[in-house]
Amino acid sequence: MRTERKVVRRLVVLAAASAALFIGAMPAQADNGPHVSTATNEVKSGIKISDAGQGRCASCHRAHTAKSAYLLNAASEEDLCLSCHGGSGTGATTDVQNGVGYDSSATTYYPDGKTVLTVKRGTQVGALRGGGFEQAMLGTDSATKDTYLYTYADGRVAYRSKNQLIPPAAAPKGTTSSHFGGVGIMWGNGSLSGTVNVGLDMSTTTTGKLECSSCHDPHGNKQYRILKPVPSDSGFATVIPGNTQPGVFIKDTANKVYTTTNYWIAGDPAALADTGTTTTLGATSITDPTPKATTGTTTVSSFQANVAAWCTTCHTRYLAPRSSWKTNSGDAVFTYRHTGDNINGDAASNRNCIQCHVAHGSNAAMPNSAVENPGDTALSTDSRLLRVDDRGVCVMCHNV
Amino acid sequence: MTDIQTTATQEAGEDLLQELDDLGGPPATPPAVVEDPRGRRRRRIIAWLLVVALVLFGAVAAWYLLNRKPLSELPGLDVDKVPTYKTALYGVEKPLGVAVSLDGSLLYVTQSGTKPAAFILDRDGNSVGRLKPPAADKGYHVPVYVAVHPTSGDVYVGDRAAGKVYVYDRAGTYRSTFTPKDKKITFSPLGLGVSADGTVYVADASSAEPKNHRILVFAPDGSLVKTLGKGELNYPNAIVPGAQDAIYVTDSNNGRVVVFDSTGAMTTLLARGIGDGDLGLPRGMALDDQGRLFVVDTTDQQVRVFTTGAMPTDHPAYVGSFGDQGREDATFLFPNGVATDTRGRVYVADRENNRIQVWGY
Repeated sequence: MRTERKVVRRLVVLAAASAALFIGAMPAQADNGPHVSTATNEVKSGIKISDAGQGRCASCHRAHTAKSAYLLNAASEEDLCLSCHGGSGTGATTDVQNGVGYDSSATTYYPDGKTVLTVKRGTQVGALRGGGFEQAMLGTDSATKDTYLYTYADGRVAYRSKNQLIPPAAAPKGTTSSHFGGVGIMWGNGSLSGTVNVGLDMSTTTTGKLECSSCHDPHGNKQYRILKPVPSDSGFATVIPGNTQPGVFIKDTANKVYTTTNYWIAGDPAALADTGTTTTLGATSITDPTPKATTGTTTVSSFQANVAAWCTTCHTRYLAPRSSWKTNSGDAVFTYRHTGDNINGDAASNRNCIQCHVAHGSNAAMPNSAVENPGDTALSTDSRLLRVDDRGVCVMCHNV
Repeated sequence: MTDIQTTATQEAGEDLLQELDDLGGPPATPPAVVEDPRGRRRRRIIAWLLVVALVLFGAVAAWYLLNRKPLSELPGLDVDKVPTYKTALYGVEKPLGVAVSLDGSLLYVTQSGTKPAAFILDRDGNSVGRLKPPAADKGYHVPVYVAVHPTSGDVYVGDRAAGKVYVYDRAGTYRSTFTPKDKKITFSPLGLGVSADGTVYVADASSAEPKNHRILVFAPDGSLVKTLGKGELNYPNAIVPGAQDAIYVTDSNNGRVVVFDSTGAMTTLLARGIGDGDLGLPRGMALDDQGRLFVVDTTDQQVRVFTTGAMPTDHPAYVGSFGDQGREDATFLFPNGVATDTRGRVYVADRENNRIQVWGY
């Protein structure tokens, strides 16, 4: 009798722990990974727990024998993520270590950012739009553009750029800058200030180190990039009008193929495409994101705008409205700034962080060294996550 | 015989003669030695035992010379046991897949990370060759898993990036590219399997949509025989052909091991969970000649050992696990591939420790 009671008690504890894990891990079927599920992350009642969990939790978590915090069954969060999404990963199509995307199925193809074709790809490999942490496949030395003659209302004419193209490289190349793993400075973090301050020293923060989960939500949020509304240690606490929670919600497609043939922003099917004359959505499957990002009183809804707002939750002072190039911000370091804020209703502007930078890492070569960071005096060959060799991103738009 | 014993015997004999003298009998002579029949029988038994022992020893020696296996693997002994740690072979970065040549003298190992390649190692871990794609196939190559043909010894390497399966001879000389007869069939191979009749099994994860993941079964000439598991699998990794035309598959992201019988019917054998023998993220898998199934649990940092049943659909019995998370000997950091040879050795690709661990019985 005592034995039976003991067994029952153990079963009850086990069931309770399992249920707790299921509930804690509530995922969404963003990209069909092992950590996501369709049954949860939606407002509905009567969710059948056994359908929702399906034992997925145990691929990453242990209830009683975990190796690290958050009940992870591995000591290194980075290694755990890379065991699927790294160069050794055999459980995902995204290899963020090498900037490679695997997909040989029918793939949507955006040759110029506006033309939508569906083709059967001849190769299994594509480049990730965000580059990679150790290698990337961006054709940073092969970027091209066209020009066209533009006539202003007052009759002036000028050449403008259009059809910018960054093709993929044939194979991954070593990165010259990467957004991962370091304990450095979160550049531009903080409010505009007359006191010299380049950003937040990450070593003073609670996490101290940028990791996968600093930006991504491993349990999914029904969006392909599964970005957190508030990146870790961003210090962001603003509740955007219309939202109930602080943060910037990046809403892109639930299922999206990263591999395209153009790594300029216009080639991103989830981004607004500026062809110089018309603005179109690169893909028809993009849902208008809500809640919407905003600055001041203006609310816009494009993916690009939200991405700009999202990046600047950490790199606060890079969020520069139009005309910042001629307007003194009052900041001792970030005094005059390139427009980095497309959140002004001007959807055709297209200027935001990912126009010029990749999120993960770039293989752009910087043979002509430049000053690395604001306030630095030493030269560096660090590519600062730029998409094109040297400072070619400037020439992608500006005719100089 | 010791001096004390000799002296005691002599004294006993002298006492006996003295007694005869005392009785007035004939002059004393030593008694004739009569052989004890029990002693003879004892010696015969000993001799037979020696013969039997010699025969047994000869048989064991012959068995060992033929099989080169440890004695713990002698037929009839219990197979329900986990191997013990032997050594580790270094020199390969982030090894992913591993296979053994038929004679056990060579290892075929795929290297992942930022420098993907496939190497041939000898038993001491020395690199003795490479499995290179043909020169005409330019571009990016990511070899993942390796399989060895059970009779010819040819080596099959699945290249996920190129979407091809390359075939090499035992020494690593490129022989051919295994190509489906139907040119419309493309795949992005993860796991690979080859059976003795030349049937080739390819785990295809070419789509971001797991509903399209599948096992392609090809005849030796490249004609598609059947497609298995479509809509059921999620990043299938290892494929192991078994008895009775069954194939075992690690359905990795679904956290389970499934078996397809000869009719193509799928049965789940092992599943995800936190109990003994349950799985987390199964990747590599191997079946040894004793019927033991080794399943690498990548995120549990262990290799699980099971014994298979008489029928492929019988649920394997959990024997135990070996390894643990760490960087020391006998510990793993995200192990991936596993292979067994015919000598009771188990090779595990210990990925993040950049080594191949050798375990054995």
